Amino acid sequence: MTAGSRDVRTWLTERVATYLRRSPQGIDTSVPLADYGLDSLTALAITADIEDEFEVTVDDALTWDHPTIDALAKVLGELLGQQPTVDDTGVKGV
Amino acid sequence: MNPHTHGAPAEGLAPKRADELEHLLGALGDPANPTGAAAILDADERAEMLPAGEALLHDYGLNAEFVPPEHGGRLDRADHLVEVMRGLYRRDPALGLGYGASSLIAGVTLWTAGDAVQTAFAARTLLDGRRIAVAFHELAHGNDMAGMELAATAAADGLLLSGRKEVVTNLRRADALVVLARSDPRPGQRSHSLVLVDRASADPARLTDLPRFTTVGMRGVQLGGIGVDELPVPTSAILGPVGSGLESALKAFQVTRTVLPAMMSGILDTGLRIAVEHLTERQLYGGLATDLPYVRSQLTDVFADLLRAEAFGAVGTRALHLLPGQTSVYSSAVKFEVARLLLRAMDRLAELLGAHFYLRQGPTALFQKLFRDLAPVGFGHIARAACQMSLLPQLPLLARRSWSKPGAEAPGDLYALGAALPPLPFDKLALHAAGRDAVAGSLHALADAPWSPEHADLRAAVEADRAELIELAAECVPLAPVDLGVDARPEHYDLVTRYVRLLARTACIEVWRHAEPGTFLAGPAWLRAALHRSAPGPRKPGPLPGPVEDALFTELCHRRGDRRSFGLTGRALTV
Repeated sequence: MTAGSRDVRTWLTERVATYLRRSPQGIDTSVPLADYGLDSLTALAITADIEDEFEVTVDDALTWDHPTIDALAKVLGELLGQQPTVDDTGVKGV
Repeated sequence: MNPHTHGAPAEGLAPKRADELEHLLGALGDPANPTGAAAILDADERAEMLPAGEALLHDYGLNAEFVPPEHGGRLDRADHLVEVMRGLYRRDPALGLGYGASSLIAGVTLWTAGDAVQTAFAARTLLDGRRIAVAFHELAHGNDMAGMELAATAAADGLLLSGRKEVVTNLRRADALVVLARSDPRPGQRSHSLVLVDRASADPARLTDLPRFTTVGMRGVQLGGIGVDELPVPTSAILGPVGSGLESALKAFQVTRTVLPAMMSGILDTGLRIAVEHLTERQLYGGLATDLPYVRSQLTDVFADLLRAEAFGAVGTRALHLLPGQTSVYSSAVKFEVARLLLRAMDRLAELLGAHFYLRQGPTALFQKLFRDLAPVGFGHIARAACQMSLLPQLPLLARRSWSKPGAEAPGDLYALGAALPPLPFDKLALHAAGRDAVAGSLHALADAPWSPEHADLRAAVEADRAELIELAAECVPLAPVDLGVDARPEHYDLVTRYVRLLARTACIEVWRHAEPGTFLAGPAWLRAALHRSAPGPRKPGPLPGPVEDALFTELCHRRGDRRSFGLTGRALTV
C-alpha cells in the first residue's frame, strides 16, 4: 500500500469516526461501514465528502462497491494516482 | 399497433392523445356507457377489473405510453404520461393501476437496467398489449428492499430462483416478471439482482401461483403471489451486472415514485366534482349548500390543494427529464407531499359529503370507491414514511451544498410546464443527489428577483421562505449521518417535513412565474391560496383571504359548468 492511500485512509477513518461519533482509534478499517450502523443511504453521503475534500468526482455508488474504509482508501488512492493528495497536516491542492 | 406518430418534441400542457383517450372513455354519468360509473361500480362490487375498460385500453394501446420512443412507444414526456393516465384515475383507479401503472413500474426497471435484447423483449411484450409484473414485494419485508429473500443461486447455465413473492399486481396474468432476487446471501447493497422471467419459457412445474390477495380499495386489481421452486433462468435474464438490483431499482423507481402520485390526482379531481355537483344541488337550511360559507371555504381549500399538489408533481415530473441527478430527492419529496395532500383533501370532501360519502348507491356512489382506491397513494410502491426516511440522510449535504447560499439554478423549462422536454435520461438517474437541489436553492434568486408592487405579499412570502431555508440549513449542517438512519429520532423527521414544505412552495411560485401570461396559472389567486394553505406554523391555516377564496370559487364553478378538469391543465373533459 502506498503512502498516499494510507493518508487517504487516515482521512476516511477520521471522517467516518465523526459520522459515528466514535474515536478513530476504535474503528477497524476492514469492517464494513454498515456493521458500525451506517445504513446504505447514509453511506452514500461519504462520497460527497470525498468529492469536496479531494475535488474529484466519484461514482455515486462508490461506498456500495467498496463498503470498508480499506477498500475505499484503495480505490481512492488509485483514483488520485500520482497527484499530491494529503499529508499528515491535511490537504494539499489538487 | 401504434397509430400515433412522432415528430418534433411535443409541446403543451397535455398531449392530444389525452383528449382522444378521454373521448373514448366517455361520460361517467351515462348509465349506458360501458366505461361509465355504473359499470365501474359494478365491477368493483364483484372485485373484478372492468372488462370493457381493459378492452378499450388494449385497443387504444395504452401500454405504448410506458415505452420510450426509441423502443417504439410514446413515452416521450413523463408529464404527458401523467396527464393521459389522469383520464383513467379520474374514472377507475383500478384500471389505472391494474391495466396501467403496474406495467409502467416493470418497464422503468427495463429502460434503466436492461440490455438491447431485454428491452426489445419488454417493448414487444408491452406494445402487444401484454403485461409485465414487478415481483419485488415479500410481505415479511415490506419497503425494506435490502431484506428481500427470494434467492438466486448460481447454477450451470445461469441461476436457480427459489422463494416467494406476495401481493404483486397482475402476477398471474403477466407474460413476464421482473423479479428482485437475492444473489448473495450476505447483507449489503450488492446482494440483489433483477431477473427478467419470461413465463412462456419458464418451467410451469417450478412456479406455483398463490391465491389472490383481496383488498379494501382497488378491489378489481388482481394481486397475486408466487412460489418459486428452483426455477432455472439463464444468465441473459439478469438485468445489469449481478448485484446491481437495488441500485437499478432505486434509480428506476424515481420515475414511478414521482409520476404515480401525480397521476392519482385524477381521483381527487373526480372526488371534488362529485362533491361540488352534490352540494350545488342540495338544499340545506333553506338554501343551497354551496351558499354556506363553510362549504364554499372547504371546497375552495380542496381546489387549492389539488392545484398545489399538481404543481409540485409537475415540477418533480419534469425534473426527471431535466435534473435526473437530483430526483432521488424530488421523487421521495413528491411521493411524500402529493400523497399527503391528496389523502387529506379527499378526507375533507368525505366530511362535506357526510352520509353520501358512505353510500354505495345513488349519484355519489363513485365517491366511496375513489376514496378507497386513493389509499394506496400513501403506501403503495413505497410508503410515505419510507420516503421520509430516505430523504433524512440527504439533508445535511443538501443544506451544505445548496441551501445556505445562491447556487446552480434549474433550467427555466423545469417550471414552464408547456415547454418541450428532452428524452427521459434513464442512464442519468443517480442513487443520491450529492447535495444538489436547484429547486429549493432557487429561493435565493427568487427573493432577489424584481417583483411588481401588487405582488408585495408574494415577495414577502418568498423572503420568509428563504430565511426559513437558511435556518433549516443551519440546523441540518451539523447533524451527524449516524443520527439520520432508520433509527432517527422523531424530531429529525420533522426536518424532512419542513424541507418538503419549502420545496413544494418554491415549486408553486416558480410555476406561477413561468406560466403563460393571461392563463389562470399566471394569475396570483391560486398561488396565494397555495402559499396560505402551506404556511408554516404549529396551527392549521385558517380560511383563505376573502378575495382569494372568491376568485378560486368562481374558477371552480366555471370549470364545473364548462366540464373542465380542476387540476393544473383545466382541460375539457367528457366526464
